Amino acid sequence: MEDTFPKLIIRNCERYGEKALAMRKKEFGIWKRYTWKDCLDAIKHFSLGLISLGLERGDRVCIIGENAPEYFWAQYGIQASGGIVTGVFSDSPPPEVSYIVSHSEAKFVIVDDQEQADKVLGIREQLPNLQRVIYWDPKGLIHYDEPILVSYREVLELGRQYEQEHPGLFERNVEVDKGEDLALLVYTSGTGGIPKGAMLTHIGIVNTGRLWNQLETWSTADEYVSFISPAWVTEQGQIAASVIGGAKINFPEETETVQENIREIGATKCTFSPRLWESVVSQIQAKMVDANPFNRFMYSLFFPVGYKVDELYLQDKKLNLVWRILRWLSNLIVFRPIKDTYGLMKVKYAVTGGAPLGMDSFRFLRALGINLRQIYAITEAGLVTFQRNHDVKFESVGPAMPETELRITDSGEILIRGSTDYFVGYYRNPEATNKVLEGGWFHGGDAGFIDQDGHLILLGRAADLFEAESGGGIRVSPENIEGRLKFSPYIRDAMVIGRGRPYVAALIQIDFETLGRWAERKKLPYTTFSDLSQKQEIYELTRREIERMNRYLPPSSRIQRYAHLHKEFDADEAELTRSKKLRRGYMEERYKDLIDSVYVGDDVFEIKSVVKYRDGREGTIRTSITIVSLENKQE
Amino acid sequence: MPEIANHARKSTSKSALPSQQSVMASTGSTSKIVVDDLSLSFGELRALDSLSLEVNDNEILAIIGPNGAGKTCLLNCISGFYHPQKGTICYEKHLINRWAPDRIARSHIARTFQNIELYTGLSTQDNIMAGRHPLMKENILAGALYMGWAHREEIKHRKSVEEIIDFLGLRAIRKKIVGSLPYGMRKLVELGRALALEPKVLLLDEPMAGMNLEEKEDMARFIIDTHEGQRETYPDTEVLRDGVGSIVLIEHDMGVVMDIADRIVVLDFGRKIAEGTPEEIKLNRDVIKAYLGKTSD
Repeated sequence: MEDTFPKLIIRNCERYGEKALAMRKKEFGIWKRYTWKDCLDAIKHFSLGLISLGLERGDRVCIIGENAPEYFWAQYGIQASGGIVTGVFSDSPPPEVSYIVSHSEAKFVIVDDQEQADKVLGIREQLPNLQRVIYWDPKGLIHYDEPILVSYREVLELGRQYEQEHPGLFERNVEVDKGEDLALLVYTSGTGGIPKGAMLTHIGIVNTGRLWNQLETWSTADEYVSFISPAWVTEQGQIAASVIGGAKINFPEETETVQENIREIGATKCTFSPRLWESVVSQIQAKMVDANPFNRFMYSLFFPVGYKVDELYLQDKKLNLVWRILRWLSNLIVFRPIKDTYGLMKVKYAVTGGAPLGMDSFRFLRALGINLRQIYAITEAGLVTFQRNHDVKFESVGPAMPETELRITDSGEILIRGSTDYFVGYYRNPEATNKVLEGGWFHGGDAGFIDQDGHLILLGRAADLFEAESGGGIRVSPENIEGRLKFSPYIRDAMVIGRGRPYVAALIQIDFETLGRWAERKKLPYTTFSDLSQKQEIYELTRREIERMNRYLPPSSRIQRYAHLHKEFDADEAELTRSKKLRRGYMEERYKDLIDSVYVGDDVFEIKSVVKYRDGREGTIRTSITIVSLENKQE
Repeated sequence: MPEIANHARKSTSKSALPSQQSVMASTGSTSKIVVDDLSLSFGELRALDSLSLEVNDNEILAIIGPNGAGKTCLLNCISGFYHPQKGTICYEKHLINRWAPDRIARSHIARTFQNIELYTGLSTQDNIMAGRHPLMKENILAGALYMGWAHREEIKHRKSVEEIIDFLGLRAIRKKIVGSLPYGMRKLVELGRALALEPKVLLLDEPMAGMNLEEKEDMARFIIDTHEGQRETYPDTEVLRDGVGSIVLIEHDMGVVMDIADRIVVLDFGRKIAEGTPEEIKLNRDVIKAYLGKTSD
């Protein structure tokens, strides 16, 4: 098989030409269509256009933008000329953008719209290597008078002219690319410390796509909707799988229309992050609470059927006639309509990854009839584990990918080695590189163990696990408990604390939407998030949820005290990473006084925090936080 | 409101000093609408009293004044809802003060309303499409049978509607029923419907009433973008491409008015009490007296 993506695009063009659609993008209300030939033309001309502007083999180029055909045409165009692509999350604020663009020494930055262009232009002085800023959505940029700005269209035009003067250059460049060459420079979000630039090769991504095609079909009949930032490596994997299999890649109109677009397209493949899956679950449950009595009755009558049917499926047992009829009925009356609302009706293969999905949400979605499997992927190692169809275990992330080996150290850390292992090091950071590549295995920093069926069970970051003070040698996994907490429709996010402390406690972020609606129904007045989060009635709700959850945990892992945080965990304030993972160390430092107060036994904590708004302004929130103790009935 | 100034005037080509612009207004540029000695009464109540003013090409004219000064009445006269008892309104060499509202609309004078007059049972898309109606040539039979040219015309209009939706950022709500939309969004939809008419003169009646700071900044930006035109971004819709030459804006938010208006006319009790650039009006004693009741020294 071809070992780089530009070569694969050429292959697809030869194979399908104009006969199969490669991509669709919704613009002005209609889905614009692009065949494989259209894509190849755009990639070729963009590639040549950049060369005419000064791109050389080995140069880095940053792309900041939402998912669009232009993003991937640019990416493959750059790679065709031997360049290396760095994707940046589009909600990154200027300091982050500045760090990545200057650290990678990017010559060009490609942006989608005015917002991103403004960000880059605003930090221009910090970027001495920057030569051009290329944009593809001209709205608002028409009146700008900046010579550094070039439109995507102009680059394509330059490319066409360049092709006339240098025929065959593109094809020759693509031939020179090798699998071992660098394809992407991905800055990992760093749950601790400044981001590191992981250097990834072509062949690793190609292998990811190839192996994914082995595990499930990605044919020309498949529809994939790409909305997760391509700066995230799993999204690159899915695009890779689509290109290798010939599946159609659809790009939504804008972030607000994603769910609607998934529905319109009838996506057959769906990968969401656990947060997204959990929010689907919360929405369904919240809607059911508001539904009329007949619907609620049907729902509670047939949902158990879903659970049982899935159980039998996973045990490889055949359904007898009674269960087949029940399954048909439950699909007709409850499951299909619910799935239809969320655009999940045609999904044949659904995946969750990026963080562990709470067991309860997982079972819920499978009971609905969504073929959801969990995967485990890291930026540096690609896809590591992948649950197979009949082999889903809710607590695991599945057996290792084909062509991948796993090893667990004595301290429980997971080591990885395999063909989707396309990481060659961190850019300009040899010490960090040596640390993680010790002995030829990649040290991801996650802890876990492999069970008797060969499934990997994750326990969270190796550095986050702690020994419970109260119980003999039990290791508490905060991520595990947080996942369970988040299953509750009332709890959006949570942070579990307890290292070096007498017992386990938690900081909870309530689900403002769900609880806001609940408060309205109960005629409980409230103003802001801060206000609602401290209401006595809301604490009652969460208390019951946490007590219920505690019963499933070993005694030393149970939450004894908790508090509602007065604001949401925020990536803009560095409390979360861009991929919405908790930055534990930072949070524990930031809320140290509150946490101390919890363990001292206080019932109330006065807090004053500085909040940073998107435009850089600052404000202060002053409020009192209630802290609640739970009764833990000893069993 | 310095923030709006930064947002609104960031990249405008109209960076001429205010005094230069007022000179242009009175000498060089053409007058689009000339209101001459207009008087409107409801029984004994004098709503407009011998009012004379001009709306010039290539300007944003703000009409300000205390409540009840007659601002909306003036707009209603221009758009044909009210017929004045005395005086004339001249638009492009036609006297329009006796014209019916639909004729005025077809002559490319569009407006928005203080209290939003959208079709609350229709979607955003359909409301904006309704604004295309005066530009449509198809008759009911051609439309029903959807014959060749009616089909082509429909597509052309739909493309413009989509460009307007794109311009105003209404994509996510294009199919939503207007009745379910929040207030700020409805105001944008109404602006969209007015733009769908391909106006040469746009009358905006308190477009920012009831909005918070962020919404006001957005609306100010849209008004300026509408005025300047977006050139190749929207090649198929003339009004988006070339911009709306004359915009008449009734607004109470002084910050906004000072920032985006080229010229201001001040009304009080149906009469014009002042006229000039924002700088001049800020210092005008009669204006201050009208708003505050007495001069502030």
